[in-house]
Amino acid sequence: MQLSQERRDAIEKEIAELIIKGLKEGSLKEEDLSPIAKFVLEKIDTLATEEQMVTFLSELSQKWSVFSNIHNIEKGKVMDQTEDLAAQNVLDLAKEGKIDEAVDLAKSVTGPEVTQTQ
Amino acid sequence: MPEVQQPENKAPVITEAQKQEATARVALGVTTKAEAPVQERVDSLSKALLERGPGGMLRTIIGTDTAEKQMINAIDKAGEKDLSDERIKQVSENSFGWGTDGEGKKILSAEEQGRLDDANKRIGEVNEYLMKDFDGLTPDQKRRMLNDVGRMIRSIPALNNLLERMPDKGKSTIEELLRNGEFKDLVKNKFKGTLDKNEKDNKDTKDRVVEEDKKVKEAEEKRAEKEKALKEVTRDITSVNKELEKFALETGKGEKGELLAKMEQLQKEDKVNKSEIGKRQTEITDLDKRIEDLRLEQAGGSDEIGVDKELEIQGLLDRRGILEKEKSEFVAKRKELTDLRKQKKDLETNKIKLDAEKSKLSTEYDDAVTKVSEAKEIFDQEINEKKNDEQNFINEINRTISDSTADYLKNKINSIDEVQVQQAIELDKETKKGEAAEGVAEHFEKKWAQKGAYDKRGIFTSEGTVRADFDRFVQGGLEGLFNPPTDEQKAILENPALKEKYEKQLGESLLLKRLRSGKLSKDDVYRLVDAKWMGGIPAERLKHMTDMIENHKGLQDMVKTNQKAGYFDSEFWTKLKNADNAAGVAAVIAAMLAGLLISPLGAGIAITEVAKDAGIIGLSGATAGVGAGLGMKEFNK
Repeated sequence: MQLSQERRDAIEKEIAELIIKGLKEGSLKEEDLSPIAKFVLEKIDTLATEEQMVTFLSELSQKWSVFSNIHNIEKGKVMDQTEDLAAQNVLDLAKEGKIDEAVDLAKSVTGPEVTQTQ
Repeated sequence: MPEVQQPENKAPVITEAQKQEATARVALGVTTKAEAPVQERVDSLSKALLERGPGGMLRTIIGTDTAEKQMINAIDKAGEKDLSDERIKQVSENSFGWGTDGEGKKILSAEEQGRLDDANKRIGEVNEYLMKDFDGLTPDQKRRMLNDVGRMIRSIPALNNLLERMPDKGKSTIEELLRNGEFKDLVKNKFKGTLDKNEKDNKDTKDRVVEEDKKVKEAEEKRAEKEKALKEVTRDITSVNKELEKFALETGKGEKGELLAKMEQLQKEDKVNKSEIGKRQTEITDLDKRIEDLRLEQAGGSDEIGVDKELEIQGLLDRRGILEKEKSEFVAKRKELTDLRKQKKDLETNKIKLDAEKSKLSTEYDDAVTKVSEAKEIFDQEINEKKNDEQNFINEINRTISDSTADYLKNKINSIDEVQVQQAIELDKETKKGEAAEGVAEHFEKKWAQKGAYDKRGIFTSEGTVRADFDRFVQGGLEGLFNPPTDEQKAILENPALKEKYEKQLGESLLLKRLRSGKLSKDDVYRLVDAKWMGGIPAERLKHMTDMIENHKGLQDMVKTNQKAGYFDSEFWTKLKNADNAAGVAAVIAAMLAGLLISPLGAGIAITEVAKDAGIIGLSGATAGVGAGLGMKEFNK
């Protein structure tokens, strides 16, 4: 899914607000700010899709856990959108009597992560 | 729960040491959480976000807004001398050296060039700090600045003592000072003041050096003139002396001077010569008379008489001629004597005159030499003063940071009042309590995370200690866990805020470990409902979740044997460990329980329902992600 400039700006703003909040609450130190700012500025304008945005936020939250929430929220939004689309398609298939295909499609919504090997 | 005895209401005794430490804390801004200077930073970032948007704020952090900063620097000083790069460069270069070449171009000695290079290096660092802030500096520049500030702080015993007591915070405290806006303003003013003062002082000194150099040159010229004149007169004296030697009684060779000998000889002969001249003159006079008489006789006589007389006359004339010749020889001798006497006298007179002149010129030359020496001495003094001024300029620039630190601390310390000291003491007490409480929490965490607690499958096995503490906690909360309480534990129990914090923290940690052990039962969950620290998940929702577990086919087995291979991937325990914080625990609980409800078609719906029931708002998709991400495979009904 394409990433709009509006979405990009909104996320950048959330990141900035989280930085201020983290600094205030002590979960971020002054020495964290410069690396965070550099990381964000280097990557954010290169993102073209929602999925790339989620990956970027995942990397960001792995480096600095204060961003975990925004990662989870955005990931959820992407998944919601994917699920909404899949759900509609599942219903369409079910209406056409293609039950097996509908079941397979439903499984595939969480398929890639669920089928992780041990 | 036993009643806690309230302490008597007595005013605490504050020692001098406490006062000093509190003053030091206030001066250095060593406080907890988001107080100045962190609050200042928060405020400045908030302002940057508002004014320049998120991108602008991020760029401000890494100091790439230099163009804007330069503009602010340039426009905010109307009527004052600015700190533009151009001006700084001009002041710096004009401060060193004074000489020019024939075309008026400035020339610097090697020493002066060295001083200029030193100054430029340090000026550059201070200027970069003012333009880019501390975080925009190179590691070496940062290190030098930290050393300058640290040295000054540590020169004050109370502040040094404070830093010694908190080695972990020392460096960050000093860094915060360098990021402090008030401090930076002091640096800016001091830097500007140094440049302004140096610009004026250096010009004055340089003008004096140039002036004195001119005087030295003029004195040198006069000295050269006198030297030349002295040489000339000396040469003349030598020449006269050489001539006078001819009249010397004894020459260098031990003989009488040739002219003196001659003169003495002529002197000896002079009387005779005079007499001889007289004789001859008398004879000449007589001959002249006789010749005259003969002429008369010749004129009045016959021709024959005339011829005879002419012969006589001729004879007399011949004699006369001889006498004249002889006389002239004696006259010449007498003249020679006169000339020699005059020559000697002239030489002696000239020598006296030349000696006098030489004496005068010698004095004048000595004076000129003295004046040159004096002018050079003054010039050297001015040059030394210039050199000192240049070095002072370098020293003042080098001290910009440390002097600013001293001023900052002085201002802070002088402005601290009793109320602030008291507040700092109270804050320190709170901080120490907090640190002690953290120590208590750490002790329990270490106890529960025993070595070997996780087997090679990543499953928590050392369950006995956790079980005992879990039971004590569920029954009695923190009072149950801290029984009997140590002094540090008592301090937590007596402080409502700390008690609430650690009740939640330690309670959640115990729950998590209980989950990992695979022994968390429905009864445990029901007992947890009554525990105060489970405020994040309402009791009725937790009950609903546990009822769902009980009613779902096959889930009882899953709860009891959640370690069963095939339902959890090898990364599961790692991910679970990484979720070890308040929000993460809530998500883990919901995901763990909700994940067990995954069915082929109803995955999204079931997870959403459970997550909503758990009160985890807005994380429906995330919960699915977390649950699914934990590697739980579908449970096949």
